[in-house]
Amino acid sequence: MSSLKKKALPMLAGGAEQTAASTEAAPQHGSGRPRFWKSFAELENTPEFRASLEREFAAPPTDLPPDAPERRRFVQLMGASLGLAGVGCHWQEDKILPLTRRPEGTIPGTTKRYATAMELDGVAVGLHATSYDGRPIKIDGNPLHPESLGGTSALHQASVLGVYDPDRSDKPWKRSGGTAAASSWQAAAEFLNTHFGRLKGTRGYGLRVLSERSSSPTLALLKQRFLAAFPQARWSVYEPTSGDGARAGSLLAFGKAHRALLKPEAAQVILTLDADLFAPDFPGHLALARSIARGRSPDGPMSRIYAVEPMYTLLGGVADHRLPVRAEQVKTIAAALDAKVSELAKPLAELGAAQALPKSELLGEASVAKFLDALAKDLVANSGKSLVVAGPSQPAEVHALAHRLNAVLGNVGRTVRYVEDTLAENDSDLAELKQLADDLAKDRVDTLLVLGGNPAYTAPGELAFDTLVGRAKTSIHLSLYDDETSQRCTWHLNAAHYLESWGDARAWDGTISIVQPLIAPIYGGRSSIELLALLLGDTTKALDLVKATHQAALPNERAFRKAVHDGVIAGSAFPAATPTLQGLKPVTLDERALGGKKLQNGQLEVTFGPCLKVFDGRFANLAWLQELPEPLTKLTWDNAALIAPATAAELGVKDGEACTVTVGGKTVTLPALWVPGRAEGSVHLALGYGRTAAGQVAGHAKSEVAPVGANAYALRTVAGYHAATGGSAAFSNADLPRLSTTNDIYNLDKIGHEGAEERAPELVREATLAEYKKDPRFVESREEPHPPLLSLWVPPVSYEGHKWGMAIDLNKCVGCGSCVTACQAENNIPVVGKKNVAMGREMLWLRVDRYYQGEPENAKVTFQPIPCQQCENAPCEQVCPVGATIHSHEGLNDMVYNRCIGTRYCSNNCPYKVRRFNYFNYNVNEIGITPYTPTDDPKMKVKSMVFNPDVTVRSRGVMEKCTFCVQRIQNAKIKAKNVKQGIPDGTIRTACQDSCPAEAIVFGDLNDSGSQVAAAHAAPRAYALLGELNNHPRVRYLGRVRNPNPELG
Amino acid sequence: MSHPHEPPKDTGPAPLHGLLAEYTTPAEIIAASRKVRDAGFSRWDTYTPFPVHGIDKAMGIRMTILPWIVLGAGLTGLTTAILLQWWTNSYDYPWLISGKPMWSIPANVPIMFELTVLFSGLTALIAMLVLNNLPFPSHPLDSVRRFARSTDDHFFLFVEAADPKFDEAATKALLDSTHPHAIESVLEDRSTPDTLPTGIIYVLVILTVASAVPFALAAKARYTLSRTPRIHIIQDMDAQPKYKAQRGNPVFPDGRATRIAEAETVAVGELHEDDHFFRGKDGDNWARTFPPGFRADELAMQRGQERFGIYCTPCHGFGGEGNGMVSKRAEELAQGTWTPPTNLTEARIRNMAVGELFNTITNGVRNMPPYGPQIPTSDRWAIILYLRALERGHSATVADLEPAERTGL
Amino acid sequence: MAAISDVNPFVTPPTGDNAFARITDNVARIAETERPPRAWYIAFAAALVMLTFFLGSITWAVWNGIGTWGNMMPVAWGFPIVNFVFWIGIGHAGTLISAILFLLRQSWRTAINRFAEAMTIFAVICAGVFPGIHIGRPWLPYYMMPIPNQMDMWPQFRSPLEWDIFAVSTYATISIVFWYMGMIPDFATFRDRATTFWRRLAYGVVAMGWRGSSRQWHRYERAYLLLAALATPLVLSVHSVVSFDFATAQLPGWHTTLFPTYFVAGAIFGGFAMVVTLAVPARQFFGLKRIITIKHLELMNKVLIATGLMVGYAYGMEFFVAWYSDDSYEGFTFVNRAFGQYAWAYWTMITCNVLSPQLHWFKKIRTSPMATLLIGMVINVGMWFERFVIICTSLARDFLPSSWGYFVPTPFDYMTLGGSFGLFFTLFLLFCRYLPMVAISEVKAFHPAAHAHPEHH
Repeated sequence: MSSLKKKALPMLAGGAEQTAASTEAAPQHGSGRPRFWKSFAELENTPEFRASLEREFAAPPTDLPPDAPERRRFVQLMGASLGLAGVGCHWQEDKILPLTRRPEGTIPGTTKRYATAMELDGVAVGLHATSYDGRPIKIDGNPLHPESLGGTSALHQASVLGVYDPDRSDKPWKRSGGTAAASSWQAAAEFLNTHFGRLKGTRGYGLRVLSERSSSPTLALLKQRFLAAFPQARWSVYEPTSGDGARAGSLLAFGKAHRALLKPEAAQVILTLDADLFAPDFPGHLALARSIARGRSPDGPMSRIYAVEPMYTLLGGVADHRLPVRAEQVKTIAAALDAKVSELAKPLAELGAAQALPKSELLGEASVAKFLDALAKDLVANSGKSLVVAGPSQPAEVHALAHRLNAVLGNVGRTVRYVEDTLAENDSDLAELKQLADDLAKDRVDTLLVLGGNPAYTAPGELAFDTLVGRAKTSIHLSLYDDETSQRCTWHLNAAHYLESWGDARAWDGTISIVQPLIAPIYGGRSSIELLALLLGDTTKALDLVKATHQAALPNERAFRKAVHDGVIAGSAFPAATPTLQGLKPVTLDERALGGKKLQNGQLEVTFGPCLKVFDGRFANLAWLQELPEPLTKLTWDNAALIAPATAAELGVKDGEACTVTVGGKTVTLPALWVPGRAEGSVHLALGYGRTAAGQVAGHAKSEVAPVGANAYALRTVAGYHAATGGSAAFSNADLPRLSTTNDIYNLDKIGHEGAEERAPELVREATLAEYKKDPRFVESREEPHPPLLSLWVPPVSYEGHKWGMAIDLNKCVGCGSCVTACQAENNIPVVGKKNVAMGREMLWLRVDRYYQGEPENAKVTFQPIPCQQCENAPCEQVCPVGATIHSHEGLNDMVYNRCIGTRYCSNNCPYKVRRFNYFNYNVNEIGITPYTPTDDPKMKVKSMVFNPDVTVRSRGVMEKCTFCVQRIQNAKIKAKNVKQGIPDGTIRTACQDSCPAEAIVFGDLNDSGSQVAAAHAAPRAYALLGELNNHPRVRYLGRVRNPNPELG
Repeated sequence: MSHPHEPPKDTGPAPLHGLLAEYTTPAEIIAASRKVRDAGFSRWDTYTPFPVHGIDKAMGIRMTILPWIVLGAGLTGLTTAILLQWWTNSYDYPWLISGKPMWSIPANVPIMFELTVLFSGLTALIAMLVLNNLPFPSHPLDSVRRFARSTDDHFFLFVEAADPKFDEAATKALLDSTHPHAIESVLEDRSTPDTLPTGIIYVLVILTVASAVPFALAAKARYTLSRTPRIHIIQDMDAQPKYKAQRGNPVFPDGRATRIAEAETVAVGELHEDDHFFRGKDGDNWARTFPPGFRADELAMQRGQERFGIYCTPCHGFGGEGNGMVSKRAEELAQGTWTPPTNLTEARIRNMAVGELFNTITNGVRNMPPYGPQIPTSDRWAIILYLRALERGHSATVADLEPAERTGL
Repeated sequence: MAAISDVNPFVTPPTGDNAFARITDNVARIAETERPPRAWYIAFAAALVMLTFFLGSITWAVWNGIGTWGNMMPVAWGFPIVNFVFWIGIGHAGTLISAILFLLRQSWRTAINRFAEAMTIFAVICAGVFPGIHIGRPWLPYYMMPIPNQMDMWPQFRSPLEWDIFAVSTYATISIVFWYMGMIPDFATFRDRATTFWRRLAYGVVAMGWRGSSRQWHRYERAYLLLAALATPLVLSVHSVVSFDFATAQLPGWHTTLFPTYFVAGAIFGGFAMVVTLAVPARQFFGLKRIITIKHLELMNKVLIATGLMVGYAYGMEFFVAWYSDDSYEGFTFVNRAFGQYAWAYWTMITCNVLSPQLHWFKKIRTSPMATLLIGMVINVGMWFERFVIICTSLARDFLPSSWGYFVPTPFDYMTLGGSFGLFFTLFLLFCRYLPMVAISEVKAFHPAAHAHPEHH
């Protein structure tokens, strides 16, 4: 039976055969045509084939001559002719290709969700991937997973685009000298067998493995076996984002590596020391966003957040008080705080001596002193209900101090728990990398095996790793792309995407998830697990390896299925630990750390950090992320030198114009961007840009695609890994393309600035907790005074039945932008590219407006997501001459794409300017998802698989906008109709709502009095944006409430 | 190409057409007009390079009805506008627009006005032309050289010979009395040909024929069949680069965009832990009872009958004896490749565990395809329930009948 | 004398033994002469080049997508609509002069009404191009017409843009009718003067066999009077409707009841400016000084002062309303207009439209053809900027600061704008060459010699 299946439907066959087949067939170049065409031609003429056609009743398969094809195979091949059905100027033909053996439970055109997990920097986030006809098209959070709780970040949302990225490497490459030769996995396997066979002889002498951090238990086991087989080998782990600070800090504090699990929900006062709890490199950022949002309900106990940080972070946006100091000064603050708190709290002796109050110019400054005193008091007053967090980029001592402060304040066990970090491979990534670099330099490395990562690009420029990689006699790189590292290795092996392979991974708290594939590897790539197995000569499939790993926890098939289904293995988290704090030595503070606020004699501090969008650069080729406006700077398609206006003025660096940043002789030239809330004397550079071998989106030197942004790794040193001191920045007259920001509110001319300032309070309505308690309906007093709103007509419909509405809680929104990318993924929103963004033609249906208030030094920031407000009296509708936008009887403002001729009048008349226009055929001719055209280019065929089939792919010349995910509404209605039931609240969730980690967005039926959204609309904080226009928007915003410390007022 | 100024075809004196008097000032022509009017002539007219003030009265021209025609047209335009807007926007395809009523006058006023003006304006021109019976290709006086000045600087009065009061001598005298600049008796015009120049005719014919071509093509497209898809130059959104259900994608070896889920993956909500219900298994052997989750009641029986009728009868026949239509045809064809379907009422099946039956339906056997994908789980159990009833019917004995019914035999 | 006659073949006084004949000759020989002045050739060549640019840029935009222009969000209407409104405005003086002045029995109109009308029609043609090409899918403008279709969809008649379609097309039609009807008698004159068969045929066909019989004149005058009566409110309606595109929108800076009157005044203003701009060279090169006299120019310049003041009043009133309405958004829009990012455009507009016409208070200036020409041109520039200011500055900064932007035109925008002038002048120069530039019969009818009093005979 199974043999027959293989013949009948290759797709049913085992992974290996499938991958082999698809590697052959997947066309490589525009001209390349899938090989099976030849076989088709032969096929047509075989007599058996004609006979089988004439035969009305297919013979029982057992009777078939071994090589005779079948009718269904013929059908499959006919399907391929779609490729040839040229568009031309005729109506395009479309063939239906039903599966001849449809697996049970699969209904064509319906979606299914599969639990899986995406690992980033050794921390897995559990996801639900939506699959349409067996193709993943959308990612959402797995509510059961402790890291996600249902939320996702933009990175997860965009990862689905990575599966179909046409720039992904589709085969192994063999390089020697300057020449690269396309190879195959077969050839690679042969080479690896012989090569590692030989290494076995030398017990792995001169073998070095550099792997990206992974929490996969299976990989860990394989690693053990590998090191057993090659005892001489040395295995290092490197990640460019995380520092060693956290681990070293816990070592310093507890003598053993521990992980801190935060519970801000339970905290009344939260202090972050240069820690962006919502950044993708902070473990548990999604869960934390939700936890903090829940702990900040103005109606319940509302926490107060203090942020001490060098630049505005997402958390800084939420914080009630912010103290901008240079990264190097955070240590001083922490020490001072320890001194003050210990003085007030009188800690037990065994916690060791407190730090002495440092003599610092900074602490001398009145504002800072005041801040610290108030903070210390507040913390102590809330002992046991407070929380101190240090950021990953801070040195060990700051982390240790944070641990100490939590201990002193008695928060341990209440707002922060500890678990032992059993996954800590080594004490310091950097040391490992440096060691490896030395070995390479000294030619001690015979074979270098790089599992994932892109060290040639991400290693500190100081190490010149890109040149060193070549020093190894044999270097093998497994990665998704044929990237900077691959191009310097003798072998590039194309990896499988996490949505393509079996695996497992651990959450920050240790919970294990089984990673299940959503689709067979499109380019026949393999996972690290598969590769290691191959090197060990183990032919077991990845799935079976994973099963074997969890034999103990999941003894039988049933248990395993359950784990796969849920996406988590229950009770697999690390056991709680209660480490005892050791006394801390006094921290060392250099004069710069003790210095004042102002720029120290031109000695700039240069900080580096992963970009919120492209992370360390591994996501650089995902156009969705490049086009996603960076939450705070609203910068797209670029990175810039973020600098405080005051400092910039001192250095003569002009806003938006080129500047050169120099550290230790190395320089990078990139545009400067003046940002409020940035500490003086400090410049920030986002990592992950300036890729030269990423792809058609982010830059590819070989095909002359200019890199996006500038490579900040070049300036990185081992010493100044996160914050390099003694840097400098100067104006440069280099002619760089203008920065493309999507919301220029902050840098406007005087008039515009005043205008914006004047109306901001009405648009984003805020109050302090005290004000709110006094006047819960404060939003009304913020409204533009206007005459009573009278309509000329009684509305022609009264919206019985469904009445869809949305509410967005500004108090919860952290502005991370996950919703924006989620919307893009759900609704086939094209990418327009840097130039068009600069012209203000971005297509994002949902935008997150960012408002700064107050003085540039330390402006307050508020975020406001703006989807289509679905006005009941929609101004856009009346002006459309062709009725392309009309109102549904459920109150939706519908777009009829194929009726739209593109007068753009609706956009002019939209007070919220949420309408987007296809000035070009972005989805096909322009960048679209990733730049490949025309439609019959095989690469286009691959990339267009990411489109959501339930949503129109708009062509040029039509207007589009948020539809409240009308396709989801319709699907839900159809389902409900089939079972003749109503639609309970919460069944329909818009894409933005689904992705929001902070639960800021609520959607539902306003006629359903019990629905969340109805309650939100009735809430005292609810207000309609520009309600005075009498448009009756269906979106309500819940005013933001801040909780400042009265002492700091 | 025939020339309008070719010499007269037939010789001999042409009959008199009328008398033409020429004047140099408006005053003279008005005076003359009065005389001629008073003389009671009816078939006469004056020709002037511009509208001469007061000549209407002098000639006794009555007021034209043109204004009334225009008024009518205007009203028609107005009505059209009202009907058009009412019918399209609030009756034929009512739209909910900006929460405004389906029909309210204010928004429709501009177009009412425009159509009123449009209709009247066009009518004004057309009516003027028609009433003046223009276009008028050739005028009898065209042949008179001097008459060309009627559109330049001189003023002419012409009395037709056809006028009942016309008498050559008398009329001439009358005109003389008006001190004309000149008098000329005009003969019937023979110079201009009666027929249109052939060239022009050809042109007209060709144009008429050409104008019919598009319609002909349209008709052809409408009433003939073609295998090539219709011409569609701008695809817009009719051909979208996305993959709807079951479409093809040549990048995959099987040409399908549909992918089969990887083995052993589990979709959310498809855990299916109940072996009895989902696999017909009871421990390691086939379940002999219906699963507890399944309610074997009247409804289930009816459902089963219906499903059986849809999925099973084609091969197994209504009685389940394995004599369905398909099977019959296959045996007629006798291609030798056909395995006849099982008679479901035979003992082997009757004694088969329901679990095993369930498994057979789900995964198929021999050339019976698996029905798992098509028939929902509970329906499969319902079919088995009905099948059991069928079997019972077949295996029934007299003993099964009520005593009362037995007497019927 | 070749040199002189090259420059101007019309220096010799018109021939003919009476006033009427001389008028005819003066006008008709323009079309009958073998070679028009060299200036005509130069102008025509230039116009053709610009026309090519026009067609080229349009083709490019249609082929690649209208993103080739600078339009963006929030300024979704850029140059194309600015040009549209500009040209529609120009297209007002013609019909106004013919119709309203006709009803007001202003005898001086006869000198200029014909080519004012021609100008109107060509301007409307230029305007008509833009709504068609500015839309995102230029192959589908017919969706805006009430044509029965398989989608069973109809135009949305609540949309001002839909009103526009009807208003502009009606206006174009009526203007052409009016123009053509006026020319019928003059075509007849040309026909009768024709020396060659083809000229005779051509003018004969368009003259439709008009013979100038008094019975024809009678109906003709009725029809013409009615058309004038119809065209007058039409002229006023067209630009009012165009102004509705903005006035009925919610956008600060657009949403004012002032617009219809303001736009009509502006249109007349701009229209007259264009008339003088064309009249001066025309009378210069085609020896029409006897017909289009300095007096005519002076009268038109007076109209310019009047309408210029009206427009200036409107500008001021906008600010007053913005302040008086106490609507902060409205208020900001106007402050921003005058002192914000587009201040340069605003002050250009004020200088050209409000200040420059004031020079006409001086008789010396308003009677000098050169000054008239220059000021006319300046006003045209100003009127274009008025539309730019209204459309772009209002859109660029509307309600939410987050969506504010700055419109930057691309080379294609300029090509299309300049090119539209190419289209206009091509048509206009052809008109000067082949059609009766002055309403011959009307001029005659108003000539003293035409007022006959047979009583004293």
